[in-house]
Amino acid sequence: MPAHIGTENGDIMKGFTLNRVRKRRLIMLLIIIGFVAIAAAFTLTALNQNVMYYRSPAQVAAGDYPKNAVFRLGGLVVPGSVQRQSGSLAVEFEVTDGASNVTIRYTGILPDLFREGQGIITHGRLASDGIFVANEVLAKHDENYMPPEVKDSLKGVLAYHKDQ
Amino acid sequence: MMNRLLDWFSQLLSGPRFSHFSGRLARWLLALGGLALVFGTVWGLVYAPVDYQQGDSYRIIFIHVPSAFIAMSGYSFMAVAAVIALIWRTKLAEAIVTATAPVGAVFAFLALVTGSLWGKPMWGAYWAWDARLTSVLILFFIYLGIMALNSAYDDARKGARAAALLVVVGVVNLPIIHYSVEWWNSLHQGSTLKLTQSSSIAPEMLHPLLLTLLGTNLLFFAVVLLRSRARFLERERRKQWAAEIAVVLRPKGAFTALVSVAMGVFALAWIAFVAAFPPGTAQMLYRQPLQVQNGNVDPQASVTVGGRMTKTEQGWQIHDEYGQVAVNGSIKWRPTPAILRGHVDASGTLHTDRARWLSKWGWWVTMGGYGFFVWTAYALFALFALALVRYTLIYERSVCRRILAQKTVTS
Repeated sequence: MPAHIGTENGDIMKGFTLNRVRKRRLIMLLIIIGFVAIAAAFTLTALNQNVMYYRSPAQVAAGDYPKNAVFRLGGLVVPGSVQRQSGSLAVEFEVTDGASNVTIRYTGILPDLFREGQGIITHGRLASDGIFVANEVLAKHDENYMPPEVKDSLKGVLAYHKDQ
Repeated sequence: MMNRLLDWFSQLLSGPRFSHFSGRLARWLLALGGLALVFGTVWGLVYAPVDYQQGDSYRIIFIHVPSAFIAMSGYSFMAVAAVIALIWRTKLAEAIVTATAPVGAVFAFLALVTGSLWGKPMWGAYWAWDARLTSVLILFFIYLGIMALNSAYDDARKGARAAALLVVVGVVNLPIIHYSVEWWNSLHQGSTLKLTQSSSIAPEMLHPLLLTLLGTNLLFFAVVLLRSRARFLERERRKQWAAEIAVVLRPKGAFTALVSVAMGVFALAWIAFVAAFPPGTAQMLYRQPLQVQNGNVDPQASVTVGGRMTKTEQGWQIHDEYGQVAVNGSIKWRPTPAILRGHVDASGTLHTDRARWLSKWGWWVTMGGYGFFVWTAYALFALFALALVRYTLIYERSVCRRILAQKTVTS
């Protein structure tokens, strides 16, 4: 490279020093970030209920859900509760959060991940007979990734954790 | 000691020096990043095992997680440059801020699109107004806002500083994205890769993921270095050193042409795949034997099932890692993977009259029925990553041409 490169003075920062002007800019910046963070925290706390993507069966049992309106209900599919009508796609199953159960009725193809014990989120409304009539079922999956063989050898361990 | 280090650092960031070392560094980063991405994706798509729940669709993780990682880490990098630009007002930091925004925007977009292509087959929806998804969408819009604000000023330096202020304000969104899956009930699952604890992913899946993560990072920094340098040269085009660098660079079009050809190859490969395996109901190529076993197929309509064929004592059956279904029909059965079309009776037997036999690679390319989602995600990732490189090279060339064409140069 040419000899004078790097010695030219025009734009070289003379080190990252803080003089009075720069210190003032830094403080201003910190104040702005602080205010924005506080504003965001207030907004998110106020919106907390709306940011929650779904309600749990316990909240439904306590009456904490929008009456006569559609809402989302999430929980684990109770093992052994899935009942299909032969010859149609109608299905009924229970979801639980450990505290309460809600029966869900749905007609349609379920997501591939739907299975007993799986976390799911449904969208629909609570009928007067206490059954949640869903028009959409989404399957949640966990953050674990492993080959099926590993899962089989882990089954004992997972069953143990579920009991806890 | 500290002062000497800072001096060295500031020397390194002086215009001429930065331009020299960034060019050389970017070439290496580009080559290594490209290699890591090629090896990582082949490893992840061909050799990594299927997932115990998600089957082959989980393979989108090898591009989704790196894209999301860059969208956030790239933003942090840009925020550091923005703070320097606002406090020290250096032209280089301004150039880095404005050069990084579009690159980060591309990766935020890729994170959203690959995630959506993963969400449809697994969750059952392309999109949900979930806290994680929404906060990443906001990140994407912030990137676009930064780009718009930067170009809204006639004076490049004023535009860059206004954009830098927006960058700093937008930092608030980063912890929200990261903790969104913990603070609120969300459809999106928690983090798989963790710094402090062991990751909840099997090692044979983790290793290709780390490789694509490394490759994407190298690619990001290569593109950011080249774009920042081009932007910086553009600002300093009247300087003697900029003209000298433009002479040295005099970029040729051969590599750009190569990148264009690669983009064409990926686009054609995707079109060929969709033509060979047109997506069926809900974009699935076929349903899995497990879904038939569970009764999760419409008994009134005909159904397409894919799997490997095996002859057992009870007759032929179609199966994969998760389930098996007995098949029946006036077909000459073959012990190769197949896509069968037919009806399921009350006992769960598939009565079929049409079979499409597949070779080992033909079976692999269908990705357990999720081929449309996996290959669309990979094609988009490849096209956008290559487009980033291509437009960066074209931008660099146009800047050099403009510098070489100008008459007046001040020293």
